[in-house]
Amino acid sequence: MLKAALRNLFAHKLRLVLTGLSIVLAVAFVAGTYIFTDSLRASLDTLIQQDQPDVSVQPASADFSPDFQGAGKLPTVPTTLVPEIEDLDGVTMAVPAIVVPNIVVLDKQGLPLGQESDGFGGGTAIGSSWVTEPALNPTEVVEGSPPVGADQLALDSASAEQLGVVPGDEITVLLPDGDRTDFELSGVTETQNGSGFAITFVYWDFATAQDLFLTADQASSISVLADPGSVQTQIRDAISPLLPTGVVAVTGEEQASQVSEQLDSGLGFLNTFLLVFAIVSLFVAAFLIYNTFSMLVAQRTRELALLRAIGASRGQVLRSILAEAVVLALVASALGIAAGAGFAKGLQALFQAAGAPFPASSLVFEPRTIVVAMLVGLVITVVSALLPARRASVIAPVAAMREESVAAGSGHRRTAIGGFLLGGGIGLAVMAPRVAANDTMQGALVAGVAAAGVLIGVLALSPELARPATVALSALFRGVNGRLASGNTRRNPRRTAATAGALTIGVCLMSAISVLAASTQKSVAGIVDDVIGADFVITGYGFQPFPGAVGEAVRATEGVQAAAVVRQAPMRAPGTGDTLATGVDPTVIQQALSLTVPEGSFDDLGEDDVAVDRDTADSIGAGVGSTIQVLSVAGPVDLQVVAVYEPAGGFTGYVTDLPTIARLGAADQDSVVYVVKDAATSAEDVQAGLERALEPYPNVQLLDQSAFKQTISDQIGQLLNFLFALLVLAVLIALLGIVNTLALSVFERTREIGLLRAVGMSRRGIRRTIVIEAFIIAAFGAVVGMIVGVAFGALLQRILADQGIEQFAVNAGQLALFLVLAAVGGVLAALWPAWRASRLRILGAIAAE
Amino acid sequence: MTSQPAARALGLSKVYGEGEAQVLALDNVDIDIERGRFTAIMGPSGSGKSTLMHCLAGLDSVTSGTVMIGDVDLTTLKDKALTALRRDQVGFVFQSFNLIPTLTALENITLPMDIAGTKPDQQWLDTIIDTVGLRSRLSHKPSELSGGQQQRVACARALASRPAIIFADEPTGNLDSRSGAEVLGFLRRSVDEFGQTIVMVTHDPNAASYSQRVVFLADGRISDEMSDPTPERVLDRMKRFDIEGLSAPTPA
Ligand SMILES: Nc1ncnc2c1ncn2[C@@H]1O[C@H](COP(=O)(O)OP(=O)(O)OP(=O)(O)O)[C@@H](O)[C@H]1O
Ligand SMILES: [Mg+2]
Repeated sequence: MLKAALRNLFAHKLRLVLTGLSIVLAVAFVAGTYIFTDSLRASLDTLIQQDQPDVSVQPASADFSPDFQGAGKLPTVPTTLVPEIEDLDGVTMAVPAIVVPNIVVLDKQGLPLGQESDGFGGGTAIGSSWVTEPALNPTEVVEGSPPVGADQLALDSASAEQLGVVPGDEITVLLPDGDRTDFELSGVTETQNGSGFAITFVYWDFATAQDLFLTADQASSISVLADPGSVQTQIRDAISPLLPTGVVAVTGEEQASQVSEQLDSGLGFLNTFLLVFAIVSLFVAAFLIYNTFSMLVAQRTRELALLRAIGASRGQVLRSILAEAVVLALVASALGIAAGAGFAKGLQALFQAAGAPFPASSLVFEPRTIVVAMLVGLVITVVSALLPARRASVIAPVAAMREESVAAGSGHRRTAIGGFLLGGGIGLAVMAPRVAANDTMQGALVAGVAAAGVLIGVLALSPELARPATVALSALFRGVNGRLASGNTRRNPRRTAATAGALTIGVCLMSAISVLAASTQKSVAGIVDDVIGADFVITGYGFQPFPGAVGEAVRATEGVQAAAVVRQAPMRAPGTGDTLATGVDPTVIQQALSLTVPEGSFDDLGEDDVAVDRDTADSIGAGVGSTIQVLSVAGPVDLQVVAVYEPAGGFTGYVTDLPTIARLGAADQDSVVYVVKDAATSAEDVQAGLERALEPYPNVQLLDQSAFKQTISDQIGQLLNFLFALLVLAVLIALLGIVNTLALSVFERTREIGLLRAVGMSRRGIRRTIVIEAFIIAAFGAVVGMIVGVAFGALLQRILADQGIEQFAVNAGQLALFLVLAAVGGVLAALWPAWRASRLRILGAIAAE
Repeated sequence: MTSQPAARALGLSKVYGEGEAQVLALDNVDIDIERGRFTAIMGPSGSGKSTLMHCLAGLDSVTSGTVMIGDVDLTTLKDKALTALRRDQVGFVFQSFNLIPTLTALENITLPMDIAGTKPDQQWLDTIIDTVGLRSRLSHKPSELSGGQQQRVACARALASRPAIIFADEPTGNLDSRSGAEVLGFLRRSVDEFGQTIVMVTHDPNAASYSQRVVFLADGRISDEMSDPTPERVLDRMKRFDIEGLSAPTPA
């Protein structure tokens, strides 16, 4: 029986390739996702491990989530500790180090290096002191020499190459305080194993770095090198008693595992995110594989019946199909894993193109990847093959051997289940926004279940929808080709529905995302209109903070009535966890933003007071008069609530006045400046004046209201494109499904095509018929997907209304583009089967049994 | 009848396959199909009947020789012209699978004209439909028709575009004798009443007796022919044929 199965497999190479390809694509997505995140993980792990000194003495606040550390004043440790630590037993040496985020290296045009790749903090570099002790420095100078003295710096090799500089050249750097300084490039560095991070690193000698960024006796941390054979924890315990409050000692291992944990949660999220897309692709591929096997089995019903008639048992017939499926699944899954490696490379490129600072690294194959990918391929294929095979095997041999192929079951049960799921899904969808009003997460969960119910329900019902839909669509085509094509789509509604269904899923998700993005863009624009009364907004590229001097320069510009700076500091607070507190001038900010303050007033905001947005206040049960203890980089601070305000777009959370935010650890850097012009001066004049004032600060951008809305829109658009890129694979698999279905249909209809040719249809006519058929299937799938997808998008918008997505919007142009692309894709998918059909030999076709 | 024949083959040979597996299906066949007549082609299985018909109808290429329909030499035509010729000049009835399952009976009948994008002659269509007696079944799909009805729809399709010639390959091969008789009677009437030219391949002496002329094929060659056949004479000839076929090659 196995021999028969294998022979069967190879007898139909074409079907084999088409079915196999769908498995390969689906498995590739799953395997690729794992390979990608595993590789990322592995390369980050090596970096973490090699970067850690035996013990590191650092400010206690360093355990704030690193996302928020860039905002505040640099936390420091006293360098007076260095000799004390070096005196301890088992310590070889202690080396103070300085690390500063937010350095801007300017290129020859005076623009920040790497600014084009904005979105992920593009345009800023990390500055640090050059550690002369090689044992404590994973970075080495590969060209020139280490930086020495106040006018030298070293640069990582990738950035040096990008700038086109060699040692000896001059480099201009914009320091966090806004000073522009020229340095001589002393050398070019590379990190062991090449970090590959798309981040610029700048190095000065310690004294210079200290002079530039800190005061004497201060460092960011102290790295301790232990004698060989000593125990890290013992040294840590010996150091700890020496330390003042606010400074801690951690071992290299502790540090590494801490960083690792942070990475894990980040990567875990990324992995889940990618796997969601992998599941979508799998789902789509399952359709394709199932459909293909249904057709293969249908075509072979007679052959199977013959086997039954000559005495093979049902079990044997099933086993033979099973064997076929298993062989195919194993081979295709193995190829899929190989393709997954390519896909992982593609993902790396995609993320890098999106500006994510991920290192490009060699690929890592975990055994888990291979097991999961193989299982996925195997299970989907075998289930897809067995369902139709079971159906075929219950048909009486005699019935199957009759001329006409056996009609599929009526599907009443499927229709009933589909109706139930659709109804239930709609019911839940109606409830979801109400649930979300109380708890967004729960609402989202209900909406997710509702969406799954609706989608699966629609897919189950779509054979019923196929008939009226194809009739309606075929009205677009006159003549016999259209009539034949639409007849073909109705011949087996289940097959048409399954083929279209794959596309439905892809288009549905794309439409939902599109609607959500359009709604977000519109809502944000609405918030900008409602909230931002300022005429101009100044932000840093990549939303990096910029020197406080910018605010001064703006204030001094003619025609500027008020400049409201927004300054931030990291802190840990109830209701928000690690967050950024916002500091503003209470009077000026009210000129720039129209804030709704239902309780208390911003005017009361003084020393050690705080305003809290209503959501946070509600969640921690605070109100005007209550005291909240927060943890700042400088330690715990008690703040008194004087106002509760409605969150306004990005303006949420804890708000203090400027002296208080400084006390909480904010540096002399701002993240936004809102500019209000006076009525007497024209917008053009003020803009020109501001442009001149901002010339020394190429790392900030001046935006008027519409440009500000546009940048936010662009950022959402960027994210959108990224999601679309991931969904494209699902759509491609769906289109492959159309190729597959049509190719197999052509095969099934060989005689019919021969007959059409015999009675005078031209090759072109045959091709046209098949292309129209594909168009009808694709359009049906896409239209259904779009309707469901827009509904999902609307639902998501309602769910997230409380999160600021208050308005519903559709990007009709984009949706129309999806439809057009799906239709064009369908037509392209038909080209090859159509060509094959038109090449069929007439006589071979007529004679075919 | 002195006019030019409806179809003609001159020195027609057809070789299938290559090398070892070569089969000479037609060996230097000359034949004229007279206009307005009902010609039957008979012969043992494998004698080349279907091949001859396919070559005459432009469904298959020839190895050597010429095939004419009217005054057109099919061997000089490209696929496009051949397709158009089949559509406009030739009608077909095959043994089975004659109809497109997704089209109704009427749509199947008008298919060649729909493909050509021409309007069927309504009066002619009515005549044919009434002759085949299918008026009540026009909106049915092929799967809802009996085998005999399906073959009659196929005949109606072949006639509907008033082709110069109709080829039928064992049109009654799958039918019981009553349905077969209906189809054959209808074919004969279309010759007698409308002057249609028909070439029919058959195994059945009874079917052959509906024709006006029987051509016998053996081993790819024309071995004999007979005018105004009756079932008995055809049967008699076939018996002889079998004995000859077994004993010695047919004399040319
Ligand atoms: N496509 C083909 N390839 C190879 N040989 C073929 C092909 N078609 C027919 N033949 C051979 O050519 C010869 C004539 O075949 P043909 O189909 O014309 O016979 P026939 O007289 O119609 O037989 P039957 O009465 O069984 O239909 C046979 O020997 C057959 O095996
Ligand atoms: Mg034959």
